[in-house]
Amino acid sequence: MPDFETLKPFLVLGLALGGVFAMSGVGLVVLYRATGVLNLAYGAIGAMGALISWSMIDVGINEWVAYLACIAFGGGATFIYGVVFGPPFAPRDPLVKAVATLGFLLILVGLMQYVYGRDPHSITLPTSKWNYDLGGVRVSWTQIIGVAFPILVTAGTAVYLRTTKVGTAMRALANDREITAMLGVPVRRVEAAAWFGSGLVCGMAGLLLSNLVGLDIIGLTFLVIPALAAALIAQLRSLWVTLVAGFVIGLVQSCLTAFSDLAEYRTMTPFVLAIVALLWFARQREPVRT
Amino acid sequence: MKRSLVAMAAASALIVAACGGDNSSSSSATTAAAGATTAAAATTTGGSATTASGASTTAGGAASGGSNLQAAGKCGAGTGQKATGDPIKLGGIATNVPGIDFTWITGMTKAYFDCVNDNGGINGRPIQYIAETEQVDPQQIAALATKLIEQDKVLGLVGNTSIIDCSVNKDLYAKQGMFLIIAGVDQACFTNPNYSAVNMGPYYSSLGGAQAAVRAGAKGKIVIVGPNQPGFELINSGVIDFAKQNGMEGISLSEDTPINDPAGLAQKLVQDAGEGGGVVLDFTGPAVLPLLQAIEQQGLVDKVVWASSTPPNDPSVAKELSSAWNGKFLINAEFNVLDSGKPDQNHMNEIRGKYRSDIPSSSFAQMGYLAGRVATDALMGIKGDITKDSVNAAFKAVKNFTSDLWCKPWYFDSTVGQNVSNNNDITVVPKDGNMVQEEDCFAIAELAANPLKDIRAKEASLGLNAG
Repeated sequence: MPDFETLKPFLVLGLALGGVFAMSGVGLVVLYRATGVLNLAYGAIGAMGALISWSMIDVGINEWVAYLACIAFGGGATFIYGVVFGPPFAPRDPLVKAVATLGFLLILVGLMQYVYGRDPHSITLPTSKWNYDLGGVRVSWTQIIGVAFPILVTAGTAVYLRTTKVGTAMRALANDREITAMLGVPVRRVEAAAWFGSGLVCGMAGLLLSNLVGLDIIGLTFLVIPALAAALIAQLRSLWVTLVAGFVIGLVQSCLTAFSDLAEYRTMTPFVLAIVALLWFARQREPVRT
Repeated sequence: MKRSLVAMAAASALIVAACGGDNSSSSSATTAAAGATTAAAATTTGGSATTASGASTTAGGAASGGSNLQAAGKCGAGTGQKATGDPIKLGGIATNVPGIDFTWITGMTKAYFDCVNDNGGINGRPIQYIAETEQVDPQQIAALATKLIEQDKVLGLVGNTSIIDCSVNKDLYAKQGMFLIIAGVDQACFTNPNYSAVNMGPYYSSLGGAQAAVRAGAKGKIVIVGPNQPGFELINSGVIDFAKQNGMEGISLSEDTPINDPAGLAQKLVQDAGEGGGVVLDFTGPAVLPLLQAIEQQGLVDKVVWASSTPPNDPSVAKELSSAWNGKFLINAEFNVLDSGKPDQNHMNEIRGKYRSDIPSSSFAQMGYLAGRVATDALMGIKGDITKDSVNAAFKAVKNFTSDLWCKPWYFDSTVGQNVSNNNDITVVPKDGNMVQEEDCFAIAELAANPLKDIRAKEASLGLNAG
């Protein structure tokens, strides 16, 4: 059984990683609530943005411009998908909408493999070079951003949904699309805003993850899974539960690394936690028998 | 209802990811070598290899010497005329799953044969190379081997590089009288007389990495970590045995690839190895890079001695590493550095550029090149009809084939039933965006559990691996 000293670095790593899972989960939930689409291409969009960023840095473009391009790509690509494919898929059931994003994922992965080939790529944010020693553990600013930024994004999104006209419209859409449309809400415009906002978060997550986890096409693409698990634990409703679930997934997964007997199973963490949560919710909904 | 459908979609995605994300990969090896001069004696202790920081490779037998039929820098006869006769069918199988792509090797072998076909072929006959891809599925790879031999009627197999081919198809190949010139991954590729690899595989290459780590001062514990793939325990066992032999503790780990938590893995490796210990990584270049960056970001570069099997001996890996890694990542290289400037290396670069520029310049490309070059030489030496029997007999008969990519000349058959003809390596390290040679050729350690002692005795008596 590892002691606290052994676990300390894993706690820091888990918080940072969990924060990015949480942020991605929040982006997924906001989009789902506004449009009914579970965007499975989330990780692939982030990976593509990060690779574009890498290309720009590689040819000598200012790195901050390149980072902004990653975020902009996330917003732009998601927005375009939403505007082009959102309306025709709107009347279809959520399963069809989710599978359509799987198609988008496959296109992006193919494109990345075609354009970027098989060479390894990497991005090192300047914030990763700024380190502090915290109780014997090295903490970088990228990790601090990974923890703080998701909290800010969640709080900002929650406030936005509650206090702005577009936010209120998004919440209304989440309840009933048809009635909202009948009330005169410009549904397509509101949905486009949701796609764009979610995409920006996706771009940011891709940039942070490419630094915290590595710029690997397949690896980043499938990092949508922990975010998806966090969103499922929150039943695709609560932003704050998604946030907490993301952090818990990151922490548990990271800390399991220190347990020799369990380390090789740690990548199952999102699956296990999501399944436990789904079973628990199902049990809660069971009718009481007399 | 809607929510249930979404949950189903999400669950499906989770399952798809669970099935697809965890494969494995490999590593394999490669290496280099520099000339055949210094086979320093690192043998069992790892203590005595020549360290020649920055020393350049002393070109060994080089492409022009020995019994090679092909001239240096030439493919086949080097006539510049396209071959137009009846094709000579050869085949190959490579693994391609997320996190590991061995098709670079069969791709480069095909590029070599394309070059041969543009230069007169084999006495005017082109080589038709059929490269298949497998996904670590025993049934699939058994079917592919059968298809190549019985349906496509290939005369020989060249460049096979698979995690399971050697284990699954060894009986088939023996029954069919096939002798394969391959790049070996699975340890079965090195324990069966029907295979001879141009590389030495992850078992021996990791062992070479551990030897370099010990020479660099690693003490106490050595950790070996590789992809979570079938047979990883056996691959890692060489390093564990070597550690014990040197009074150290050996720890064997495996990790799913792509590595999805490199920072966590980096911390674990350092904690397990302890301050001043050694860690040997056995991953492909793209898989290991995030780990190396996580190690650097967490300030762990100097905590232990970091070493590796061959695959990261790749300029694209060096290019992505910062100066913090200069001289601090000891990579066992089964082949020479990729910018050695030696004839065969230049030739490989030329062929890659002309026929398959999408394949990264890497140790895998070197393996594919060598497999193609050796096979071509064997085919050129056949007197009489080119048949399955004569092709496989020619492959089996290859002796002392020289190349500046190896430390020592290569042969197919050691006559001890286990072929590890590439058993001397160099060590390279990243330095300012390049891979440079750190140690001259040294002998991979002889252990009770490996056959190198017997093989070297046979080599001496038969005049193999000499030069």
